[in-house]
Amino acid sequence: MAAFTVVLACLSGCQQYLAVKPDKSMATPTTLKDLQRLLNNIDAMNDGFPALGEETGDDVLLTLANWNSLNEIERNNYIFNNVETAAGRWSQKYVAVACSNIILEGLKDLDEPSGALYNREHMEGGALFFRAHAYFQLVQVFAEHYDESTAGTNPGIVLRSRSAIDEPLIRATVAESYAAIIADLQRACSLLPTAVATPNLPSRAAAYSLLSRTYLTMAQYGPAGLYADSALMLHNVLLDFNLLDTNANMPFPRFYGETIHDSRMTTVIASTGRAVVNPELLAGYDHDDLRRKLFFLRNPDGNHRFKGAFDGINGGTVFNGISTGELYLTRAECLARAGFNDEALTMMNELLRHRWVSGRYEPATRGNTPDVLAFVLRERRKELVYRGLRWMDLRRLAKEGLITGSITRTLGETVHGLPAVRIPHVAYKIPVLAIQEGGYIQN
Amino acid sequence: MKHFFQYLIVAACTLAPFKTIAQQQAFRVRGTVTDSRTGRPVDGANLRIKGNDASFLTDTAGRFDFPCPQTSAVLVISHMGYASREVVLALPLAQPSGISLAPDPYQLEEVTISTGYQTVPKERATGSFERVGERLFNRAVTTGVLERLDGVTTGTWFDRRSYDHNARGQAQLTIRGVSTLRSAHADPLIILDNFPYEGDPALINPNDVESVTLLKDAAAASIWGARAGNGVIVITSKKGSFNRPAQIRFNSAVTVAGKPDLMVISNAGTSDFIDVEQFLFAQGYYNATINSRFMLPLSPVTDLLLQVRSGVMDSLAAQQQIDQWRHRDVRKDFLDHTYRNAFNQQYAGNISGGSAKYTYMLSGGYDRNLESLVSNRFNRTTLRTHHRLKITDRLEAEAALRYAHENSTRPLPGGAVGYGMLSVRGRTLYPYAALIDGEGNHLAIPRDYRTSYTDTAGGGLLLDWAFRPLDEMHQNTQDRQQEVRADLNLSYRLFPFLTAGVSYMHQLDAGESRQHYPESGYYARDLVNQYTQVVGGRAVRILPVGGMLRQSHNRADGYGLRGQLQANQRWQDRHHVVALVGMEARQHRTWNNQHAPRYGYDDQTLTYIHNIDFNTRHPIYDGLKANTAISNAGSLSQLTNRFVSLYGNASYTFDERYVVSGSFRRDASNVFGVRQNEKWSPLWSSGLSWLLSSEPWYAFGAMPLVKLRATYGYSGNVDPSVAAQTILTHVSGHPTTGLPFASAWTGPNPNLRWEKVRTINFGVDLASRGSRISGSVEYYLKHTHDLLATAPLDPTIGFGLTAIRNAARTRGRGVDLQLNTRNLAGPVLWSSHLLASYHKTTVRDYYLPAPNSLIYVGSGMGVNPIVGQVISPIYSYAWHGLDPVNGDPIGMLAGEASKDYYNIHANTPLEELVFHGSATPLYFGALRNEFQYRNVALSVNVSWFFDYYFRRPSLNYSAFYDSWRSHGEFSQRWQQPGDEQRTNVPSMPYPANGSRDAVYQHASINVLRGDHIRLQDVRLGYRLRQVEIHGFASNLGILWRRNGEKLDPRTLGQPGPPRSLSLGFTLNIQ
Repeated sequence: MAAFTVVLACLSGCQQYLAVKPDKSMATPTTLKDLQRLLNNIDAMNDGFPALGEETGDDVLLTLANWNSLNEIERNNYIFNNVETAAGRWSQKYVAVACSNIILEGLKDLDEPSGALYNREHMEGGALFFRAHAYFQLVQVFAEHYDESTAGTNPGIVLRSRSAIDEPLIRATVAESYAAIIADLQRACSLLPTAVATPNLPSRAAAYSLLSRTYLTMAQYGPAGLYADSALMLHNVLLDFNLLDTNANMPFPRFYGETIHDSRMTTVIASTGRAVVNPELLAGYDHDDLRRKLFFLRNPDGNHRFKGAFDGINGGTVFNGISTGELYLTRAECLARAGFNDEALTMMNELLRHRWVSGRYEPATRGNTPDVLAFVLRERRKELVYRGLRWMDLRRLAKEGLITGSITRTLGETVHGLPAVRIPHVAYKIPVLAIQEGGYIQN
Repeated sequence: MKHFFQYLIVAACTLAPFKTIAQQQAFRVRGTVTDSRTGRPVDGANLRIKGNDASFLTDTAGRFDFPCPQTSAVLVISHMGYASREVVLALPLAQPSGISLAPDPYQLEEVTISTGYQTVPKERATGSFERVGERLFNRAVTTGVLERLDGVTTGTWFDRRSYDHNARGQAQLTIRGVSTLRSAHADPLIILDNFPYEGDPALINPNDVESVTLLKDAAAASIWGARAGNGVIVITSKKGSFNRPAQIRFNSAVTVAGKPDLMVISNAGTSDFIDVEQFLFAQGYYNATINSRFMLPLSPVTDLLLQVRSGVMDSLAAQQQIDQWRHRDVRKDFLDHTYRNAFNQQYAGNISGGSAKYTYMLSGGYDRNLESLVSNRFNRTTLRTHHRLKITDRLEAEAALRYAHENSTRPLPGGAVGYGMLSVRGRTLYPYAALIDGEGNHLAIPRDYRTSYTDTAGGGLLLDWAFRPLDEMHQNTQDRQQEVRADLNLSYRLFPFLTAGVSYMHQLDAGESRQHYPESGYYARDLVNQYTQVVGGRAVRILPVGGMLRQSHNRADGYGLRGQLQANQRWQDRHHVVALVGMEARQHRTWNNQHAPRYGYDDQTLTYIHNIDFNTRHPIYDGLKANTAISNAGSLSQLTNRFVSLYGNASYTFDERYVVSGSFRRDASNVFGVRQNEKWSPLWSSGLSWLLSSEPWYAFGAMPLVKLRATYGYSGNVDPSVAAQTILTHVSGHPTTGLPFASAWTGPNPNLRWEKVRTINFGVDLASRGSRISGSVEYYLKHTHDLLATAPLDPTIGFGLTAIRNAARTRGRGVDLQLNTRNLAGPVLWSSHLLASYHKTTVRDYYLPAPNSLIYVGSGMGVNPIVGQVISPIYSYAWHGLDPVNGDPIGMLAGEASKDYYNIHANTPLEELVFHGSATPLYFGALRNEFQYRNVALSVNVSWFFDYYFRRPSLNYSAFYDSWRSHGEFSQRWQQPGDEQRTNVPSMPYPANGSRDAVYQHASINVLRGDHIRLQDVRLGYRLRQVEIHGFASNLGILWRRNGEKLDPRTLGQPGPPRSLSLGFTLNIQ
């Protein structure tokens, strides 16, 4: 009977008995520590950006043999015939959006104050940054290019404000998508710290940089230039490429000093063992330009491949983060567009001095560089190779008429072309699974 | 039947076994018990003086002799298989008493069944219980417990479609169909002596098992509440009996099984394979691989062709070399060197007995299995004791202690040498590989890098970089697991009709998994080389030369505490109530500690190097990979499951004819979450039975037993891994940043509910006069609500592509039939036992948006809910033959022939797909014939599986090119116009088109009927006094199959469990 009483006693303490956590490592987010650790998850937050744009741009080419070795989805994408998109290209960044939302919801629910280790503001800023970065990259491939006249009606991406799986969702317009990105980033700028331990964590400079990139894409060159300048005030390190080993397989170490924010896109077509660098791009580098050897490697067949990712990783993932060089170029472009050509050239000379063999670089002047904007854009392409940025540039420059003709793919006898006027209107198919389960408008 | 019984219980033949039990010297009761029909002595009959506790057994000559203090007594004689008798004796006896017993086969059915909470005589049960007694259970020779139920129970199907010839073969067992849409959680609940068993079922020694009872309907299973939805298997261990002299039993068996039949696997011929490789090389298919800076491996043929292309080798010489390889088949090397005949040894013994107040059972067992793959072994040691003590008239105590130790090995991850496990960087092994040369030297194959590269890299400064599979074959993962379980039961009779009981169970598990990568092994050498830099003609090693050790330790503990009141009251001789009510608390905790790897490990001295720089991202030799830090990651986990339950069960019997029963249970658990605990309504069941044949008006003498049963009730199914809240998983350090991080792997899903299963069961039990024919038929309906399914999820949600959600309602229907006949009695006894089952589960409702039809075509392995359809259907694309012009497959789209492969694959609407039927057999069962002549017994079991379909393996060109997975039908492919008349195998395209492959592979022509009949097993036994010698053969092959391609549908045309033969003996000493 005594034991029986024990059972009864045990049951009366039932509530407490059953409150124990089933899995210690599985936890509902209940502390700031939990939230910070979500922010630290670089696989979700910093990796897996879709490289569809890079794969469609004019820097990456395939030989017929290498094209033939791809599956048909990739083969079709390469020849501008996007029939279907693999689910991961869409879903991977929505994982980052979901994690960001969990952090933002968690911060609302938790009363725990900031401490020495976990800072609520940094975390909120970080979550907003990651969400904005995911949205920004998605809107570059799954929606048409930003155009003031159509942005209010063209479908953009799906914006998620909560993490629950039963939230009804629709595609926002392009204008709403960009507005959400800008709102997140502007708030993030005021929250993020100026210094972070490693550049996978968002910093204030990273938020300014991404704002600059967003405005540049929208062709709002005023704010684009200003935010680039703000970012440069916090991080303007340019390292001398003469200090790097041009023969190395991977010349840039992970978290290279010029990296403001570290992230990667996933690609099959543009993976470094397969893709061939457009010879036209290659021809643009001067003999004394160190980037020619630091960025590219000659294949046995005479073609060149890319090796210059800023994170020391080559293969199916390619660095698409933010570096000081991008800010110099954006700032210079915005200055040139505003008519401040000398200031633009000063920026350019400062950048290129670090890229050429010591003492060989002859500064550009108004005298030897009549069209400063064209010069800046040319250099922009050469510096920001394989960063996913070429696609964004192609879209806005094609819209402005600064790029004409077609992007062409030659496969044996067949030539496929994407006319420049079509470039701003390319929007990739949203994966079938999302359309089917979410009921979104397909592109 | 009685002879079978004799054959089973080998009672003793000593003449004076009873002296110890005599309490008081008085008159002698002596005599002989014989069979009234044959006149033969009855061995092991139980004799008892009415009103006295002590009981006695007859010897093999049917004799008995024991003392009795009274002058007149009523002697009660009973024996299973005979009608009990009472004989009035006047003592002293003038002469030894001759007592004859009449056979009563219905008595054989009179067994008690255990639910884990109580034991119930079968005749009083209303629900669906199926008991496998000791004799039937021990018919098969196996290492594990569950395998012994294969072919001897109704409604159970052992799914071997995922059988892997390199692993310890465990089949997925389903009882009366799946009640869940997630195959990973379809396992029935196992109860081991009163409490759920949470350990590894391989740790239970079948020789300790007295009986197994399957609880199949709600009335039987709902007492187990929220975990009973998949059915419950109650394992009852052996116990000693009161008033039984010491009995020793020893048995041993050796089993030999063949090597896996690798030749069943269909591959393109080696010569064809080489031709394809040459073609691909010419097309530049391998250029990206060749150009890769990572020195990706090339096959020997490609390597030679590359040497020819770069002018290093003469093309004629290369062709000659290549042509020599055309006749090889690497499977022969595997069969000769990495597989052996499996050899299993089993030894078990026990001693049991008891006095009037005390029983005991001590048992031990040892199993030693050398499995077919040379790296795989399994050893098990078990010890068990069980004691019962009647402390007072009212208080009884029972204590059991069980210890089990398992020591097994399996291949190292990545170091495995089974056929199909070796890969060349994601590709299967090329068929012309050689593992050994004529002189017996172990040969290398490319694995991670190109052979020409590893042969020369480092100019002698690196460690040998070659991978020789046969050098690696004795490296393995060692798993050790120990388990101790103690059970304690106390029962106290408060009143004659009321008993209070407390049961307590405590279980401890400790285990270790140890992966030793020796210094000489490829894994360790490769790792050291990766972290080597050659600087100025010297090798700088970041990682020391040596082995590597990965270890993990796990620990588990669990307890269960139960308090129960049990009432049992008869009155007026017509009313009988049995009721119990109880409460139970259970906890099960597991800890796992995956240690960080130890580098530079030396197994001889148990030393390792600890001052290694784990923080720097070191360069990898020659830039073969991105700079990577040396992994120092380990992980810890702790899981706790707690359940609190309240349950009750009652039955009322009127006049031994009518039984009404009912049960309820309410569970709460820490895995449910508070809201679920609040919402969880009690699970209940009720049942009725009517012994029609006992009605006074019943006059059908040919059928003396007719019993009707009906039950209705609910059980549930919970999955501790599914939660309604956001769940984060924490990881100690990211390899890149070193920072601890977390991932969110399920999103908040506040609407999650647990699965509920409603079962209605109707049963009829019948026996003809003299039990020539006996058996039962059950018809059941099994409705499940809120089935959890891994359903496609909008990837925009951000928690992956699928999520576990309440997705469907299903309706299962089925019939279980058991029929036993005695066909011959006389010198040759022949009986037949038919077990036939029909089961079909149909989806009634699907809550989520209908998925794209492309997920329905395929193997039918998954469960794909379509409203109104069987739960695991097989669908195909319609087939329209091959294009006579170029051999392209032609499918159908919108009712017309089409080669729009992408749209056929992705967008064929469900209505246009071809529906074949169920991927699981709807009709299955077994027929067991048993013969006995004198001391020889033969039992032959034939099983069948009808009305289902499977998809045959076929050729996929994308898989052929990308991963070298081919199919023998490659040689029958379309090659020239006219071939479409003789073949359905599409022509070889370049480049390959995955949708084209899918349209062919998933075409209706590649679905075959699965119907087949197999010779399940054969047992031959010979009994000589206390020794029984037996042979048992299983997996004997297929007697008939519907498909004309000689494919075994059980394993989808892949190699299945090889034939095995056991020889053994059982020795009983009393």
